[in-house]
Amino acid sequence: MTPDINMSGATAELQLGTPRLEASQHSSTHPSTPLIEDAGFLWRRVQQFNADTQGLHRNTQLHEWNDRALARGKDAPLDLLATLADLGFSWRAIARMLNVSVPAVQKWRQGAKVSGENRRLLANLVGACDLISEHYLVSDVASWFEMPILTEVPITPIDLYATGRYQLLFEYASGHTDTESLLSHLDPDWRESYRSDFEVFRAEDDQLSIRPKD
Amino acid sequence: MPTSEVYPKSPLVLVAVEVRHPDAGPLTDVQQRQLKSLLAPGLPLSRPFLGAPGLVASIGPGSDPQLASIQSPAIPRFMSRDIFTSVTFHRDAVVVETTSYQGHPPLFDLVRQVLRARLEVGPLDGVERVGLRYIDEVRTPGEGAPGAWGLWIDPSLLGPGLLAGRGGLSNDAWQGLATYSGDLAGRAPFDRMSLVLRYGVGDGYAVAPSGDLRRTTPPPGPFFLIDIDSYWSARDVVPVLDLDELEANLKGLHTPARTLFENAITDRLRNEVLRKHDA
Repeated sequence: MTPDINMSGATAELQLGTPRLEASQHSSTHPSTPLIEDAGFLWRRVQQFNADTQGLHRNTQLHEWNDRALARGKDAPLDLLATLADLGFSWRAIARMLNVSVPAVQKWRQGAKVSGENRRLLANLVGACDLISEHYLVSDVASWFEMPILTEVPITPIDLYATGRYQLLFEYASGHTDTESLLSHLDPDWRESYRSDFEVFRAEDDQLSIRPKD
Repeated sequence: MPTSEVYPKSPLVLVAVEVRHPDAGPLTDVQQRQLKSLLAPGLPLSRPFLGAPGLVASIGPGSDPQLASIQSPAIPRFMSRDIFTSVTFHRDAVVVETTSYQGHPPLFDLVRQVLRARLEVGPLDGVERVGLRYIDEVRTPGEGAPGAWGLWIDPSLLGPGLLAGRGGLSNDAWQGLATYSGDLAGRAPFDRMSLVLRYGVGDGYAVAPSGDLRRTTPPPGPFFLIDIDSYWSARDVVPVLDLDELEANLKGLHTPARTLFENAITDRLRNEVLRKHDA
């Protein structure tokens, strides 16, 4: 069988005698459970497109964060600290996210001079809170920062911020990543690292009890 | 090589049975309450299914284009207490699915119970398609590097992946599709069936861990997809939905699917991975 070769400008199109076998030609049994592979034969293309859009989304998030931090940078450091306190952050949490000591934060609060670099760090944190609460509609942003990402895994958004994983933080806030993927990004061995040797079960007296796993 | 063995380390991550029927319209609130009551023993949790939201664009003179998100109506769905099994009642299909497969007899029993309940709350005009889908993510022990699928998967499914090793390359992803047809041991029109096999290497998961059903979630990594969709579909006539006939047809769809799966894997995978019990 000789394929017909149609040359049109820069495009060459091969028309083979045998029709292409496409997954979409066949009716499928459709579960409600989302199938990553069901889009299937477009998977690679979708994955590439997804990577491109994720990259764009991340860049947009970081630009917006930067804009908000710049705007907040006009506020006095004491006002920035007061804003964080009003949101509900503890001095300890603020110190941890800025990677400074708690006494340093307390000194700023009492009027000690804040270096330009630390003022920028404060503005960045308030800008991040603005972005997360206004753009991603997270209520009570301070307690959200303290909330473990997954039950039984003691990693919180505070940890993401403190370790400089800002993109993951914003993706988590925006709901564009699932918790399992997020934790795998942070620590591929998280399941093992935070595995519990115990499990909760309902005992014969109908009370919740704890026992070692088999 | 048909077998009814349920492997302790089965690679099955999702099994779905779909019975498609002529559009019966949405279920009323009363019908949904009746269904909930009838299904309460095994599927007591009501978790309506929300499809992915769509976007509507409004474009007109003198104003900027506006995008609005629209959510399609919730579809009645009931789940087991362990969130491993569900049934969804679409306007034109009933779908039973599970991420904890215990063999086909209990699954087909559940399908029968579900359809009996569905027929009790309102008639269905017939059956247009019956599909039985098994999705396997075959994962292998550490030595099963992406290029070493030949130890675990029948060479007939490895296709261009085999070329990679010869060229010093690693085959990161590819998928194949094969369609089959055969006889179904029923009276016409239930006398012919079809089967679609999707297969290939992938990375991560085939069934999203973030789905509404819980699933065993191993660490993401390379897997070999064996996705078998065995189905019957109406051609010239839309027969009446008869539960005995349906169960016989499901068994008839199951057998070639199972045979295909068993032929797609190696004895080594069967014995060293799938039959391995937890220590």
